[in-house]
Amino acid sequence: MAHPLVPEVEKLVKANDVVIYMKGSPEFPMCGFSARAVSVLKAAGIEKPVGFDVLSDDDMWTALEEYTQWPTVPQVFIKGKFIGGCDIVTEMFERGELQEMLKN
Amino acid sequence: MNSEQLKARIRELHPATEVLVTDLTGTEDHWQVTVISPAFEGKMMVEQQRMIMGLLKAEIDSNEVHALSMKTYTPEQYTKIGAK
Repeated sequence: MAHPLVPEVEKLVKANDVVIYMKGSPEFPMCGFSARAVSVLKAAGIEKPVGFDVLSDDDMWTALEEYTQWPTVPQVFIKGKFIGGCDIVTEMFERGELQEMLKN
Repeated sequence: MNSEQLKARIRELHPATEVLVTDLTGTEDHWQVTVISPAFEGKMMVEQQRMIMGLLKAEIDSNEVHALSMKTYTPEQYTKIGAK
């Protein structure tokens, strides 16, 4: 059976252009990978992504992992689509694909 | 799993797949791989990485592969970065 909070994850990521599930907040990241993902988003022009702190809500963290089937955080969503974690977001930025995706 | 086995497994993606592997720690469990494959055409990067992880699921689950850092390219993308 699906985790009862999966619809909440789906609702948040579909209601906002850019969402990052991370450790800490975009203002105060609590993990190096989360911090790097936030700074990559900033470099791509996203000053204030919607952040969700998984450390503050274990149930939501579990629901997130079930929703994306991705084992690590941070996890970045753009226009409701799961993009990836720190490495993928960084690589996509370097290739210009992230900026392209944010433009459309 | 040694580097030849790792390469062979990843080549299951598509016969024309090219794989470069680096053993990051010399212990055959922390790998960096660069994979260039026609199988990646039209797929998001996260899906490309899931395809590779899927081929190595047993080894990742058993922790025989403990860390896997990936770069994925379609042949066209790889030609482009080579031209830079």
